[in-house]
Amino acid sequence: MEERVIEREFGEFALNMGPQHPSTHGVFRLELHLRGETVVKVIPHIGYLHRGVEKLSETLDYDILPPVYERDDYLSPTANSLAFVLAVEKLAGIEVPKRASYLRVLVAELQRVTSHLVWLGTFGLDLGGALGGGSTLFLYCFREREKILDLLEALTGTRFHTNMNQIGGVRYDVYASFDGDLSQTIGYLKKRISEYKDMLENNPVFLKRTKGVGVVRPELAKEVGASGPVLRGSGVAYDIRKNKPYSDYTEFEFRIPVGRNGDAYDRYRVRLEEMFESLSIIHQVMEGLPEGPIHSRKPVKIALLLKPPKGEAYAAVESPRGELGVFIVSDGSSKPYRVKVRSPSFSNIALIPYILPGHLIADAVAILGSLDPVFGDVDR
Amino acid sequence: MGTSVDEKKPRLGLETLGELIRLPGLNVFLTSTKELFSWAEKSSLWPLSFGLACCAIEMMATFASRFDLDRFGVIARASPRQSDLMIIAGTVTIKMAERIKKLYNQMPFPKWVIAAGSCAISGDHYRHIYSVVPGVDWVIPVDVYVSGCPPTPEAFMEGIIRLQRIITEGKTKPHLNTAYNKIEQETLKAKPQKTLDIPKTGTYILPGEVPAFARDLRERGFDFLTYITAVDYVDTLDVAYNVRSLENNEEQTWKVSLEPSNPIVPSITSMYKGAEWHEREAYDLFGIDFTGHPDLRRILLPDDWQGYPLKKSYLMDTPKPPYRPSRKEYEAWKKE
Ligand code: SF4
Repeated sequence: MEERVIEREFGEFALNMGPQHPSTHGVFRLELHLRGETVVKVIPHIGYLHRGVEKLSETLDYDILPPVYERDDYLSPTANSLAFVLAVEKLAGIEVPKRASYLRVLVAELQRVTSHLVWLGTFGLDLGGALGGGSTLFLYCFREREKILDLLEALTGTRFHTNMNQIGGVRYDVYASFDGDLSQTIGYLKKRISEYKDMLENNPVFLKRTKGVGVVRPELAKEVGASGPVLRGSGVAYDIRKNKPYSDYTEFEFRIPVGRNGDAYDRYRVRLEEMFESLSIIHQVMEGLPEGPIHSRKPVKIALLLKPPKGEAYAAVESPRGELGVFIVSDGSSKPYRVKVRSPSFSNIALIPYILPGHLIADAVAILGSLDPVFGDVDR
Repeated sequence: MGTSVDEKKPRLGLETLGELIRLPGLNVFLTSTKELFSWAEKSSLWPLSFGLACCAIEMMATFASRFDLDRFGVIARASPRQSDLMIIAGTVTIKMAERIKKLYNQMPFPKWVIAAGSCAISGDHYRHIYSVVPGVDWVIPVDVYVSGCPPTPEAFMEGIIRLQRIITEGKTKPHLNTAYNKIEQETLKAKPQKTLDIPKTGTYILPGEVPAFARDLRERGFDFLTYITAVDYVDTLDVAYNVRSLENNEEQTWKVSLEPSNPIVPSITSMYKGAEWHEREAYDLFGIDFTGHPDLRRILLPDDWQGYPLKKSYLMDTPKPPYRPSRKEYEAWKKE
């Protein structure tokens, strides 16, 4: 009997978390090796949502593919299709009208806000008891998100798989009273998000559970290829929108928020500030929206059999999770020869084996949440 | 015994179930237990909180503030032991199918399943993909199908209401595909490959030079690993690497050509930690052997998978029994 107690106290045991677990943010399995309540080793298992989109791309025409790509990272669908259409446009040398570029930015930034809101809400759930049972923040964030989804629904007919981007432009133009609806929503969101900021940053439990937890050193983040808020939380000011601008991002003014310590709190701060920056970009888009056509090719009703020349191209966008790149090899036919999706979540969660050990098991959930993985994006 | 009935109190809908007999000092309510139980069951559906893909986000929105499923008595539970409803929202992969079956078996009776979204119903545009189950009804019996990609919150609510109706009427007839009993492993027939003349541009180096090349770049400040991937050109199998120097905003891509029958290249995990997962992915999908990799095994597909799906010779709809029928079988089942 006594032996067994000692065994339990000093031995190591493995705990399986997921693939069905409310805190894994999707289908993800963590094999946690614990000593008491401290994590000593982690083996992440992914692939529970591997839908083979890269293989699928090899069998479909270019014009059909953007909507398929939207299903990848389902919290910011247009970022996926944007990366894809940018790569195809680069390959085929297609010009995009200015108005279309602006509208692409508009939808991408709206979805960045919705994505960060979902993240904040679910992060609240992860921290649980710290925030009034946890679901308070979740319910608030989803309420705010609905406002943007309503706008998107009015603009494109769908709530988040917007189907906005097509090769050579966008599919939908803004409607007459969109400007008014949008500025109302922006005002509302700014007020609400500031409220949450006050609510969280004055909450000692929230601070305690996020400060100094899950520290990612900048060298480690770079070596693993982490990007987006995870990289910026560690103090590296790298943003594709600034460093490799696409879609006329050079014409908007915005800051790149960075953290200092690389802990969960810094990642939260970066995302929160990004929401304000995105709202400001959206405002600037509507101020300066140029007149003109919204696509340079005919509107696509049927697949037009676009045949880009032989060659390869890589285009990347800054999705809410980081660098989302698409690498296309074309053999001159109407279907891609090979498509590789460089997904930000895949690299971001590759950090887990390096940062979890040494933390308590309760922090594991907070750290995983602070990395904001989307498993459609990880597994593709 | 027998609390008196207050006329003004809101009714619970019980009167539709049976008969209330008023006696002096005592009221008796007569109903069949079957009806009473189904009334209780339909009013307290507790789904397992469990999301697979995009549809799960819409499901979460349906649970949250605006649409509020609580008013239907639907409250998500984190454990299958406490749930009686399973909402499959998203794409079911072969790797996940076994887990879904296990979760389903852990739920106590009576239990119901809603398949929400085209993916859960039929696999949607992924239905012919090697790793995807074309509809969750190949795995567990389904009571209600909710269409959409993703279904709107209104559709989710309609699905719940439909399930409630089925429960009250006692007409549950869950649907399960059984065609997979007949499926045998198909032999992989490699398609005849024609050689392509795609220009192979970029910096090509020899496989043996990779570690030295990477180390040199690493020392020159290229410390961000963007991706490692492969392309199957049929006559060669090429691996492409991309690294960046974030400080100088520069990037460097290099490639190696490998022999398709025996693709071996030294690993660069000692220089870049991130290479570990990227190389595992290239191994999983292309079968490239990275020598010196600390833990080279499959990452996206189940460990017992056969073949390397992104190779051109691999057919997209290669079945893997028991949950993945072949295209022919799937089409035949659809016509029935
Ligand atoms: S049905 Fe559509 S929205 Fe739902 S999981 Fe499948 S692809 Fe995603």
